[in-house]
Amino acid sequence: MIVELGHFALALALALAFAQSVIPFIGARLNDVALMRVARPSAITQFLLVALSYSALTYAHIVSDFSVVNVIENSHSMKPFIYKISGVWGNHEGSMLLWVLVLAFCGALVALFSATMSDKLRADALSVQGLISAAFLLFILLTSNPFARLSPAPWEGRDLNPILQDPGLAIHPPLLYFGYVGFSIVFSFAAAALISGRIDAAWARVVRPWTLLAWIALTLGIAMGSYWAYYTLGWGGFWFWDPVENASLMPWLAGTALLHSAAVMEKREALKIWTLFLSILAFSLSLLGTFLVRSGVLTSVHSFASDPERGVFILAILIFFIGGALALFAIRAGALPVGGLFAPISREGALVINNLLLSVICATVVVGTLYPLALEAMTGEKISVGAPFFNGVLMPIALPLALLMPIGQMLPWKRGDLSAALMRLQAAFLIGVMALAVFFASYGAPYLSVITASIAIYLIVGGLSDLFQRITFRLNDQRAILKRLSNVPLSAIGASIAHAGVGVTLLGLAATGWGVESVIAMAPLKAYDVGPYQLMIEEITPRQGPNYSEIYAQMSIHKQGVMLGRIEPAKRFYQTRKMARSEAGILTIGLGQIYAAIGESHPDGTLDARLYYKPLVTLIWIGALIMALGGACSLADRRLRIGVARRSIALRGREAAT
Amino acid sequence: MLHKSPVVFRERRWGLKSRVMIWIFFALLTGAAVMAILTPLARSSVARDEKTADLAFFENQIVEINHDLAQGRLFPQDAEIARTEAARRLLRQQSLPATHVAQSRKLSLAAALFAIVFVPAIATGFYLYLGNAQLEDMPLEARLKMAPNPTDLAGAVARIERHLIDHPDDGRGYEVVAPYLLRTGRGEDAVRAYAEALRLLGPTAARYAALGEARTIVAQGRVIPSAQQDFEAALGLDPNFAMAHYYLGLAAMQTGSKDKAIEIFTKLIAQAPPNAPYLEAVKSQLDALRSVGPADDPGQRLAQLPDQERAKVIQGMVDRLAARLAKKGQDVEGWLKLIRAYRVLSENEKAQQAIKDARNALAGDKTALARIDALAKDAN
Repeated sequence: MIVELGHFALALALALAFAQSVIPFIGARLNDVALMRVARPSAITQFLLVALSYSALTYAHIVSDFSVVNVIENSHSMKPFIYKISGVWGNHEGSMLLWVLVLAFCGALVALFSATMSDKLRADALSVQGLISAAFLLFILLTSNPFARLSPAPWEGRDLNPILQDPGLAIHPPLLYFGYVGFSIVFSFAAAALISGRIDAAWARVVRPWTLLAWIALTLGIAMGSYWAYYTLGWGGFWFWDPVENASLMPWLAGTALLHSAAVMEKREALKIWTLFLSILAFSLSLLGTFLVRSGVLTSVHSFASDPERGVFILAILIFFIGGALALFAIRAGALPVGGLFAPISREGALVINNLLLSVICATVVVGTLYPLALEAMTGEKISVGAPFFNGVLMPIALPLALLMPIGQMLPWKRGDLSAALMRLQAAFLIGVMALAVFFASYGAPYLSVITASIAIYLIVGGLSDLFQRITFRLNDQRAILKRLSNVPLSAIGASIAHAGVGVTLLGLAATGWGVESVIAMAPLKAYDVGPYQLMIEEITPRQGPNYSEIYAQMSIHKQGVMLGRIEPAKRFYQTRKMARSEAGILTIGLGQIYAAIGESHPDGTLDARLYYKPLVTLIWIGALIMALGGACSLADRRLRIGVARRSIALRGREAAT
Repeated sequence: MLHKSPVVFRERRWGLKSRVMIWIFFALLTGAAVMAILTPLARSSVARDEKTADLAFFENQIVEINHDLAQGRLFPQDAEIARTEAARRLLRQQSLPATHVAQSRKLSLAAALFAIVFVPAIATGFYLYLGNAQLEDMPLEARLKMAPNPTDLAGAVARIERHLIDHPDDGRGYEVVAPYLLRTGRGEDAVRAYAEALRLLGPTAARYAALGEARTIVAQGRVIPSAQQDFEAALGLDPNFAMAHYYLGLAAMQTGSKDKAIEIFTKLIAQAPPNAPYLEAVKSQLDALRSVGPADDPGQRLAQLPDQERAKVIQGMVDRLAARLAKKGQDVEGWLKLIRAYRVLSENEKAQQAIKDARNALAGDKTALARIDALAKDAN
């Protein structure tokens, strides 16, 4: 009964989503308040129905109801409990249901927290949101029904893909979906603004928390996915420029640009067109990502099953929403009122450059991702566009962007003084140059790592400079620091922290150039050098897990005769799926890591192993956490602000002295 | 097979009462959903139009600026500029014409009617098309506790396997499930079960031989060294154990020791009781060994060809078989051979086509059709 109730709730949610998209929309066009007000309760009820449906599927997974095809195909009675829950979204049907659940959840949040919104804006936005929900519910019911049944039911399931049997699955997809879906809310508001022709600072204020939430979730989701790939794939890499990874990076880049653009809109009513365009772009790229991953165009661990029917369906959704939004944009954008004016050298001007550079990076990633697919579809030729292309093209854009970031922070709104801003960054430049000298002296090569690392240092110092100077400027009383800090808007603190976070990640990336890799056949009880450390296999032992068997090597790590710790890299074999996966052994030493993955064992007792020493590697993910923290600070800033042309502090300082 | 057809097991079906119950639940859910739409339509409310909302926003902004100024967060000149800017925005909003927002009874009624008809119709329509209201939940634990169905072998095995997790020392259990596991394609599990049975119940020739046979099957018919050891252990316990002799003969054949194989098979036939079931198989192996030398053995010759040529030869054989069956389709064995061949070559579409053709050609011959169907099901 529970399973079928969930199935019916899903069908009912579809009907309600249709009604939610039609009735309030008509109300908004005819200026009928009762019809517009239908949006709120139907969005909330729709969420409750999808939640009921999702719970029913989760129940079926937990109790191993093998009359549900989705459970047969992705579960096993002996699967650990946590993976029975996270396994619900570890497959195509379930993950689409999670997508819609998050979508409905965000819609319900909009409905609940929109008291200050005009009825029309809310009605239009929730109507667009309802249409997106309806499209995906239809997709689920017609092509990917998680409630398909089988009778007589088999007695055992086929288990979950071993790579997905990992705590990462519990965190990575929900975060990513929260990010994608958060952008769908922004998209709905953008469409609403285009439909009604009204867009102003109040609009930007409404959209701001959604942009930030989506961006934070996506940042964390991508970082989590990258760390997961790092420790399970056993290649020591954390980013492979795989189309599936790019699929999440593209909306992140557009979303980052959107975040900055929306800040300008809120404070200065400028960059309206940019903001609308980026709102559409961020969600369009999320949809594109969903299409690439879910259609089976790509084969990877993410595309659980390939089915051309699904691909065509998602493509239709993609074309409908992106095409519709862009058409609306083309018709309406010209008619929007012009916003606040600003000089080229100003905070706004710097953010325009930021938008441009981020858009170019984003376009590069899109081209790099789609070109090989298009080429293969047309000529059948397979090419792989990987790290050399992306690093080669993106570095020359990303590094100048990193140089500009602190400068933009220093520029005041409306009109600025470039030399004054550069003056305020003296310390950052100085420390950056010193870092260059130190890195060059201690590592020498590769040059790209040395340069990137020093830019990263400059970015960290420069990002925090603004904050530091605000607090300490002409400070007479040390005790006043805290008071000063509490006077700095949280959003400015957030910006400083997030920029510093980018620097931290950049430093981690730069340091990959100084890592050591060795692929060898290791004999037991013999020490092997990896960078400044020595690794030794103490013993190789088989072990039985709940639904897998594994062979693990116990390795000890030494430095100059002192033992630092043990790791247990393992190779697991999952009986039901007859699949193997590796489990890397990782020891974090300071900010760096020792990483070992094992492969085949040989008759002579040796064991193939990949050993890495990765200095500062954890900074890559710590940086992402810092970025998210910055976003959270900014999100916590609930106050209304207005950006004004402000004479620089340096100028004011001189004035006060006279 | 996904289906909406009647359910096989009686106890899996809902009683009439529960079937009515589930539709009452569906109706309640639908009612709640429709009410969500009707409530705002029935209530008369005052609209918060864009102008009001925006004015409130800009007024708030000015309040914030004054607040910041009072707290010392803004310099007076800056506050003045900000206030001017906010006031300018406020004025601009005030100058905009207000939209007339009203509420029309007729429209509300139309929307309500739409909701009452449309929502249940869509939901029920989709559900009737996709749902299985007649199927109840089947949690595994509950199914295992239910009285076993005597014809449901899979269920019985699942129960024993479950029992073995809690009682890993029950050697009998392993011995019972092992042959079933082997037959259903879970060879590695079967090997483990046979090994456990051997360990727990003590060694016998039959247990060693069964383990060896399972290993051989998992190795796709190759009598691998570990299997050979098992068969030798079996003979250590019972020197006349025919099955062990047979597999050791096979092992000799596979490693190219033709004479040794002939010797083993000959001895096996000599010692066999006249009606031994394995006699036929051994004799045919022996004939094959004697009649053609290793170089003339078509299998052997094929195996010695380079990969590409071998594929070509096999393809030719399969094509000839297909051509023959297309003309003369009454040959069940031929069809089965063809379907298997396509599967081995991973040509699944051709295999499916062959199954279809076979069904057409053999229509009327029930036993033949059953065999084809069994094979077809086997792969799915």
